[in-house]
Amino acid sequence: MALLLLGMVVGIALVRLGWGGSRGAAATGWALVAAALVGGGRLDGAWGVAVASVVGMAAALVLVLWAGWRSPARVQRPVREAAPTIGVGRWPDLGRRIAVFVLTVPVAFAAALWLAFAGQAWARALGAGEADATALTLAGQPVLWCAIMCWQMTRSGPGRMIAAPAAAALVGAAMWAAA
Amino acid sequence: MQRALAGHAAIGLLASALIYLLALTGTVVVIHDRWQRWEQPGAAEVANLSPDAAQAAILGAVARDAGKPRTTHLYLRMPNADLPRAVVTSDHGASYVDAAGRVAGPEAHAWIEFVIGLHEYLHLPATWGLIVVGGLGVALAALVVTGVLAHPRILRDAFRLRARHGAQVARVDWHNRLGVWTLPFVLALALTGAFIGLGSVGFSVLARAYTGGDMEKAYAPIFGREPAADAAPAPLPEIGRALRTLAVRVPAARPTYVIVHDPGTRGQHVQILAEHPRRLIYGESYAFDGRGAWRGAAGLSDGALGQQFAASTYNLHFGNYGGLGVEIAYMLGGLALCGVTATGTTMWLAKRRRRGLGGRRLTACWTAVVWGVPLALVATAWLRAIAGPVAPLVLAFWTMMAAGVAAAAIWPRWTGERGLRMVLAAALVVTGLGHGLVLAPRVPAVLGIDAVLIVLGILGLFVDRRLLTRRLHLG
Repeated sequence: MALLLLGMVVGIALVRLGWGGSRGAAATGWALVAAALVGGGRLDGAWGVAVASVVGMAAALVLVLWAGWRSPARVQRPVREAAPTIGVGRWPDLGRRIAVFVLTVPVAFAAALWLAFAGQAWARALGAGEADATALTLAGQPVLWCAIMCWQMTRSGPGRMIAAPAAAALVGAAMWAAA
Repeated sequence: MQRALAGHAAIGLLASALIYLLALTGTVVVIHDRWQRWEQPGAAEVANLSPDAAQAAILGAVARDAGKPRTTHLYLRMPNADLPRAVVTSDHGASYVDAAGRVAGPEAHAWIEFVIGLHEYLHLPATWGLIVVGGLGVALAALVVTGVLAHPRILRDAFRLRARHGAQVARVDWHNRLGVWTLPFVLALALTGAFIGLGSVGFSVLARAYTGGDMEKAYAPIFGREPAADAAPAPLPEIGRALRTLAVRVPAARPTYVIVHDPGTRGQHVQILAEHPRRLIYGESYAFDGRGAWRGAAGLSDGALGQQFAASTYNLHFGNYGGLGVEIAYMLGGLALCGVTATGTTMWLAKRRRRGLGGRRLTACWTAVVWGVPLALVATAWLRAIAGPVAPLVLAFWTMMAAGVAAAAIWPRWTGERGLRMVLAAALVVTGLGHGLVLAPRVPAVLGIDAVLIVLGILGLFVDRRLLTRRLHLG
């Protein structure tokens, strides 16, 4: 394992060397990073992958902090700031904001929960064990909520945010019916 | 891309202060066992607790609680390298025990318990607090996804950090660089946090659907079943025998907790949670009857994939699976997340001011949150030191935060970022020095925390000078 972790650190260092320089070094670095992750997984399962990932992240952070420390000081110009304009941007559309909150938090939460629950019922019907079906509900709900929220928050208005939770609810109903 | 950026900003604004609070407290509680030693440096320490001493400890706890209603559970925390202390806990309190299993003084690590409570449920009623924190985990995961969508070329400058350019350029670089390199870590933390926080909701739904509302039966497929209760009186269980049996049957397992359910009744049973080396699971749960006879394992280590997955989320979130090295990396990652959160909102506020939308008071309030939270945490540690473990830490923390934010809103000019940062750095130095001089700890791990606090404070002053004061100002 120590060798794999060393490989991870060397891999990140090579990625850094290759950044904006030799593409070969960067490619070798990424290959070493991938090899360390796969090796960690083969040697110690999820524990090995987790430890290798953490070491890689820490190595990259150290290099980034070093870059910050060595960055040259630059002339700082005063920030241009426009004079405040009265009445602009002061709760201009409270109703829209409340609608966005309701759609992305309670509505998306409920839709994700329903879809995760229906998914586990479907999995049970297909022969999944009780423990796996339970874990599917627990893990599925936050992941689905996140996916719905991401979809909603990249839409242009509350009206367009309804589609994602509605689709999740419909798919959930279909899965529940099929189970 | 524009819509992704707008969505990223909107989620950030919705949740940034609470996510920052969770990130900072999470960074602190990664080493909560070490903080417990720091908070009570004089408590009894034991490297190992023998089965006979473990038996004596639960007998001692029951004797300690004489005259009080019968406890529903007894917990015996076994010593380990991070916290070489044994603690026996009942419904009526917790006490350290010595190497012979004798009760040796109350457990009173109120400050770190307060910080853990802040991180796990924001001091709200427990279930609701867990759900809110779980929801914030989902919001953080959504911020990571929308952040990547909004910055398609985010990897291009992955190693460029112009920390000493103009404030706005520096903030953008800090935000993007730290965000990129902590992305897998933050995503894992956010989703495991959401899994843990929202688990109660999922179990409630499953209980309503399949077990007639019985939560214990809903938990059973993952954590194992509990035998039926029988309230008739019986002698206390033989946990020493259970520990010896476990040592023979699973020599690699390291017991972390011994839990006696319904002690002193005929329905009592013993559960031993034991770590398995080089595994991500928090441990396996081994069941024994009241006489200490083996019943079997729940299957967290080798059962269904769903059980192993669920048992792995906790250590992955808390970072306690690879010793001090992984803990330090988690703290570094946690601090990076604090930086990403703080700079994200600051950038949005600066943009707002450049557009003439005002926000001077809002900026001051955000500064009060970013620097006020760590200052309030240090202040509560001092309050704990002065007033003892019964000090009203929760009330003090939220009062300080409310007063700080209100003061920033009323007198925005007085809420200077640099001043607060200097005060925090000085407070860290004074805390480390004060703890070391007044309590005179002799354990290297505790002295190490004092040294880190002092170094961090001094470094804060020095880094501030290097990164900020050498900039040249025009105009």
